[in-house]
Amino acid sequence: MWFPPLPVVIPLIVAASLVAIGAYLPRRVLDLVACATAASVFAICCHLVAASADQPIVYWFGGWRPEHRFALGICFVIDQAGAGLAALVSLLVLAAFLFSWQYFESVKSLYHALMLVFLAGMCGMCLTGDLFNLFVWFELMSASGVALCGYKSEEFGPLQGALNFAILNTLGAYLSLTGVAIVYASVGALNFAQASASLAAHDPGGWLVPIAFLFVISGFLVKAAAFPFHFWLADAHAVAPTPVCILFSGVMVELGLYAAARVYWSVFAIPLAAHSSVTGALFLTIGTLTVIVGGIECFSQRHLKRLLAFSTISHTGVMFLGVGLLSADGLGGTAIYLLGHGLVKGGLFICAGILLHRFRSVDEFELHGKGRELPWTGLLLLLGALGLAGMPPFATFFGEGQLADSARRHGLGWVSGVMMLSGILTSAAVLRIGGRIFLGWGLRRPFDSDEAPAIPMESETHGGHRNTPGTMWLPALALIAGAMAVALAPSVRIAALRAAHRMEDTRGVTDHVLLGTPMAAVPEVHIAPALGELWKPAVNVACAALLALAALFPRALGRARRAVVHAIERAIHPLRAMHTGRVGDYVAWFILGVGVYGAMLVFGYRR
Amino acid sequence: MRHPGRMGIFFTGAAAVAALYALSAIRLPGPEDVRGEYMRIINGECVTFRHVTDAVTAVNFDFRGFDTLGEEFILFVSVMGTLVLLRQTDAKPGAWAPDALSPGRAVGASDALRVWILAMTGPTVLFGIYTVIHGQLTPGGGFQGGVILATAPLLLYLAESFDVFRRITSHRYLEIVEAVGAGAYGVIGLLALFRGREFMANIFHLGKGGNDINLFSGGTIPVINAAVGIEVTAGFVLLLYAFLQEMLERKEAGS
Amino acid sequence: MIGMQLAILAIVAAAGGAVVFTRKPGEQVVGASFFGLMLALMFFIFQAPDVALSQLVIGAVALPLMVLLAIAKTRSTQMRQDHEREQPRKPEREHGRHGPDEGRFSPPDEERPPADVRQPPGRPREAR
Repeated sequence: MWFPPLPVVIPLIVAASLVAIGAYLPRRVLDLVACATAASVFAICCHLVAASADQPIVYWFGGWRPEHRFALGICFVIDQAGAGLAALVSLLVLAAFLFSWQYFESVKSLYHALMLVFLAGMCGMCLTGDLFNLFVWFELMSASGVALCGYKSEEFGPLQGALNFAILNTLGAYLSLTGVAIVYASVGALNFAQASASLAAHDPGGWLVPIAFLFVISGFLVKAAAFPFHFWLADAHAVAPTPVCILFSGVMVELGLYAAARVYWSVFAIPLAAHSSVTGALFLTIGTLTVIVGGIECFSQRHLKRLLAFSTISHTGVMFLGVGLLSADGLGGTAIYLLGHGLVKGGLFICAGILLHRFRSVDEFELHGKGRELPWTGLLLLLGALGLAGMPPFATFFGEGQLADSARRHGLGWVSGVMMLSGILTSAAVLRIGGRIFLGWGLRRPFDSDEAPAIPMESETHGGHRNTPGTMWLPALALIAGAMAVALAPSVRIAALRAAHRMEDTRGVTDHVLLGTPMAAVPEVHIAPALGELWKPAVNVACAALLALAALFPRALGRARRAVVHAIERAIHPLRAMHTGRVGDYVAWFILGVGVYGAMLVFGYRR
Repeated sequence: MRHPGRMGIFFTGAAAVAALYALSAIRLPGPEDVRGEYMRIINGECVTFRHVTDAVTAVNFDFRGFDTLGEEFILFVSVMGTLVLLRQTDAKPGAWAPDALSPGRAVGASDALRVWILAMTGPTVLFGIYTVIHGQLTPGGGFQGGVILATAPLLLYLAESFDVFRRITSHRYLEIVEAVGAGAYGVIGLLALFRGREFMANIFHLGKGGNDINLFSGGTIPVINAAVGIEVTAGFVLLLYAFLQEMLERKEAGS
Repeated sequence: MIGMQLAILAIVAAAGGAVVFTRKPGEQVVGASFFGLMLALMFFIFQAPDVALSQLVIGAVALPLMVLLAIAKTRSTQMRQDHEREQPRKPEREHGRHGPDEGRFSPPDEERPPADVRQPPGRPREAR
């Protein structure tokens, strides 16, 4: 058993060696080493996906196997969901390294080292089977993420964005740690399986379990940019370098969601089983609010990176809805959706990076019509917008179909409506900005002449800016093509559903980890019929296109335009007013959010 | 948001969170009936099987050594991140000439204070090294000893000047030493794989018999402990170095 | 023993509160250092001497030192800026407080501004 620890250990050791000797290596070697590391981690993760198809791999570090159901050491519990997510992580890291190949300015070897440590932290989060270990990798991911976010620290914005990121995430991490401590203090166990078994066997009573659950996941909710913990995300994305944005939006945010779902299914599902409807309602509330707020904010941005960041928030809301269904097929749909969204969003951020590379700006109005020189980038952006809208053959289409099917069978048909809203608003925003930049449609400047100036952006790259190097657009093409191809084969969708079944089978996993009993075979899974859902993307794209056109050519609205615009502005103003950019406000919202969600749980769990 | 509004939101939320915490804390077991199986098992195991008397170190570097690997890299990446954030991009190479930075005494240290501090530096180093290498026998270890060791150059800065600090510590070598310390942890863990064991398995020579407990009886534990001590020392000095440099040299360049 | 534990917990709580409610950064650092010292004592009393050792160095020495340096740095930067403001020679880019948020809401679906307000197409970017 060589492979399980390697996705974490290899990047860590390579990062340390790069810091030690990187100053003596030419840039090309650094890039090569970093790419090779990410690629090998990807290969190992793919191997782990294949190897865990039958039974989850349980790997006890240091050989400390549990005795009498008591875990002394730490274990990795690698199932297909975790290994698959780790594979996606390493793939996106590889794409980010390719994008920054030779062009992105690096301070000695620190950029490569930080990215590799980031990769290790994310892989560790995907694979771990231990509460405190999860927290360690979460912190490692956050620490390297903050450093990467403020990487261009010679400017003012990145420092502030990184500071907001650091403070909010640290607060969330404190609460998570408090939750872990509560669990440990009450049952004396940190291992997922053991904690779950002990909590179920000796119920501490009162509200301890739901509150511990809320505390543990609140750190992950901050990372997942759930409403109202999402404020830092847009600030961080707006200032972080493009390759880092690819990872933030493509996987880091989703990892917060994954960790929350993983902790629920691995530890809390059985102790909280009697009130699962309350937990589901909590996730559904978070998801709905996040979809709506993210979508509206997304449509009202003019800075492409911020726009994409808010789109990520909206789509994370969709995934929260999927988790909130608390069922295996919902979870499977979420997995498919996550895969598609991560690839599409990575590709879209690379498009933004290409624009930044060429024009030193990602502002909608400043770039008006300039994108005509870059028709292929425009095409990729268009494809990405269709992917966000859930158009077949993108994986988001199949994921959404699965989610809608699952929601309908749970009597929650409205959920699919909320999901469609996310697709419409985000793809309309991307279509609008694409139309303005690449086709030169619409106004050249916003209506308000006293509009605050665009955020000054420094170029991230040096060297010739006349053309776009292949190492920039090839990853974008590959990611978007991958998002189209990955879920076409029904076998992938079936694998995702089977992985979700495995992840959800708490009792089976517990026995497998603590006693080594093989898990029962996964029941026959049914992939949702896709053809019947075809009207949805059609409606999505039609609505999105109409919305985008209305935004580009407000004259066509005729006499109603002023009333419409003002109504929208009035409705949106409070939302926008919450984004003050001041970290004190964000902290206040965070604390209030935890309090309100906690009150929801406490009143829901009243016995 | 205006100040009162923010405070109102914050205190409402904080009251709710405090209530939540209280609701969960009252259900925790008291000190008498705390579920201490882990403690009991570790206390038995670490002396008989690991020949180590400090159970905390045994947990940190053996039973849950994989966690500590992550924690060590959190420190590593935090130091690297600080270096990135504090890096001087606008400083011209000329502004770094040694004569341009003679901030003199950092504080107006009196002679009596200087003598005391200088006299304490040696014992501090000694105590740091002691804490590191006795990590497996008595409370302490790489992390604790490392931070103590890192205060030695700080004492020199307080007694003398940043110049002295710079003379005895080299940015370049510190970075290398830190990386080597961090990487060594991973490599030692990896060695077990080549022996056909699990990652982080304790493959080095352990003491024999129940009472064979000395500085080196813990197998990989003292080795990892030393690596962590090196990493923490170098990382902390690097951190202090970056802060002092940022402060003092910018001031010089600005005036 | 339990009395000592309660006492140290009360002291830590009071010191923590004092740090939060001190407004002046310089005084806050001294408070934070004391708080760190008391935390170390608390860890010691609760039988975690190794944690107390690291807390002693980090909480009571390293952290206050870094904050002190940061404060001194901010002050010197501010003094320099004030100095430059008195004798303005070269305009420096203003960093407003709005940070990364670009400010007010502007719905893109606004009506076209009058022709004379419109800027010429392809506004040239200022050279950097």
